[in-house]
Amino acid sequence: MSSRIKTLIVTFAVALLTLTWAASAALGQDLNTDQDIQDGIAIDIRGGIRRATIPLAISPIGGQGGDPSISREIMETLTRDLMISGYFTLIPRDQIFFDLGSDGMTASSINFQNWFNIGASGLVKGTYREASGQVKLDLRLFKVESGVQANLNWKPESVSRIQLRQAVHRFANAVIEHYTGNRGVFGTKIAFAARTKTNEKHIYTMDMDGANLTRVTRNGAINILPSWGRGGVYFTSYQDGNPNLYFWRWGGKPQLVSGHEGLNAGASQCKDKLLVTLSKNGTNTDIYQIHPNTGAIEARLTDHWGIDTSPSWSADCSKVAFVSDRAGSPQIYVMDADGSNQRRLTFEGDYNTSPDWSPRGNSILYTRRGAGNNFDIYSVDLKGYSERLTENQGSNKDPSWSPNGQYIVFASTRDGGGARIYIMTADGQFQTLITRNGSGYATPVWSR
Amino acid sequence: MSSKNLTRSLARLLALLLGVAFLALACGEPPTKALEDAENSLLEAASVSECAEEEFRKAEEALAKAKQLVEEGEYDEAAIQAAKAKQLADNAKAAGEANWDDCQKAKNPPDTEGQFEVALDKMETVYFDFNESALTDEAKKKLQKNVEWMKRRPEAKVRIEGHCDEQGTTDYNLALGELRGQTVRKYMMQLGIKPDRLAVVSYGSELPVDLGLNADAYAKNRRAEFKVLQ
Repeated sequence: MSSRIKTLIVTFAVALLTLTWAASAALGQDLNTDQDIQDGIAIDIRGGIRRATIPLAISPIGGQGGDPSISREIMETLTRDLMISGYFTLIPRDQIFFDLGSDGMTASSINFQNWFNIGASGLVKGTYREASGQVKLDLRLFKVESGVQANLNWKPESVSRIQLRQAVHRFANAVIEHYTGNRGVFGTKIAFAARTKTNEKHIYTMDMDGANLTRVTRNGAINILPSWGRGGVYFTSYQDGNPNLYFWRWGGKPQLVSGHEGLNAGASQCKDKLLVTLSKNGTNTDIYQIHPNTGAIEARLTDHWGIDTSPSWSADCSKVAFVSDRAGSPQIYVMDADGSNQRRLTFEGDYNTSPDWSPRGNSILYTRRGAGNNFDIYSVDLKGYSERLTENQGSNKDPSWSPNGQYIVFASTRDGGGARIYIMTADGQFQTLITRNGSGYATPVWSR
Repeated sequence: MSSKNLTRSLARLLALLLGVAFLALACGEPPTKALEDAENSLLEAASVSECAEEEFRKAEEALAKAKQLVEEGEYDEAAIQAAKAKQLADNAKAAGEANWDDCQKAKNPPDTEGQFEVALDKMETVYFDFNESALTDEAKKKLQKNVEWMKRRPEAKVRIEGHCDEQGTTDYNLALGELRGQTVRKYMMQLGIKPDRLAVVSYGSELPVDLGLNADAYAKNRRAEFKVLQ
């Protein structure tokens, strides 16, 4: 074939694709969902150091019955989960150029050479069957080099249509577990506050991949500082005029927990112990232990002339990180559960706030104000050794650990926008946006 | 087959494919999703529409036109128009956000001189330095006037509202606003106001008076305001 013909073919093919795409975009239809999802995620590897990621291919999901949105939702959920996990490089759909017709769902019926040739190390295959509202979901992970199916801690599930996402999340968690030894965090919840009007801010929850947005408050007031308690979310609301602490049991109506005159804010729960910041009787802010339901004061942990606030329990409920300005500027401190042995952990910087103690080990995340008025996320251990996790990316605030200690959720103003919610791996290497649109998000907290 | 012939048949085939692609897209359904997308984008743009009025109006018009086309049964045209409306609304949102600071400033010009003297009949707002709750000399002078005001109205009870700028973190700002309010309250008590006439509430950084993200705006937001309760 002459080179002229080749050029012509390529030109026509490109023209055809472009026109189809343009026409489809004009109609507002999704042409290639996988690509759309990948486009929606900002991958950022800090300092140009790329951690070794596992090249993974997801074969198109085959299925019987139901509407095409089922396979789309499976693909979308799976792609987004594996992308934001930070452990994989997903092979773009358009690189899977070979005929998949003969590829089956078992190791013996898969042409692994094809997948090897496009650089895949892992291969995910899936089918579903939909009948009378139930979706039978079968997803499998294959190891391309050895040509065998991976033995996952997951079995095919039969779920209702609305539980489909959760089932896919469970499979993704098993894939993460297969590669890292730690079960993934997909399907876990994140609560946050977002401004909706000038004088209104509301509490929301969402899945950690940004889906399933649920609004908690509908009181026309300012609501701030959500934190997870057992079976629901604590937050501070101005609905009564005073910043009072409320608890929202999942799906119910928020109930008043603590309504002392002055501040009632920043709850941290460990087992039956709930710590909050109060400024009762016109005193400055101090940390108290109160009853998780009645709000009755059980103990006072700090008693100082300056600010003491933002308690965060250690995983074993034996210690508490908090913020104090007793040395002239806000710094991170640690104390025992009864308020004894208070000592300072951070000595660099003149503004260190918002501690969050790891659910595993003794790494405490916090926010530091740096040069140029930018804020960044750091962690500090009990010896006072600090590590910086964000840099040169707008202001980054309000870090919160994932339940397994593998990820951190935080609010960032990077890319010139208002604050949006991002997650990063615990080492800060992989950072990615999870809120789907808008800005004005604050204080994300991960469910424990 | 000669190479010339092959070229010609390929060209024909591709032309045919293009035609099929267009036919396939010319569907007979109202573009519900495209309209929904456009409406959602417009809703999102609405919050900043006052700072991108022209762009927002165009987006609204495009959507109205799309809806009209649906009523006329021109679904293909309507879909294109809806996509255009969505694009315009996205543009309006981006423009509104980008322009927000300047536009808000233009709409709310900074306090003019002389207001200080005019405002004799009300309590005056006092301001703080960054991350500080200590009272400046200027703040103390204003508080002395506020105390005089309260002494002339012995029945009045006042709520001191402590505020911070938006630079810090939500949790710490809430505590700092409280401390600012308490510091003001203590000073006014020292000057003879009874404690039960002075309540304190901290709003942290939740209620800025100036939405700007610059030093001037921040300085205006680090404040204690006074609300007369009765």
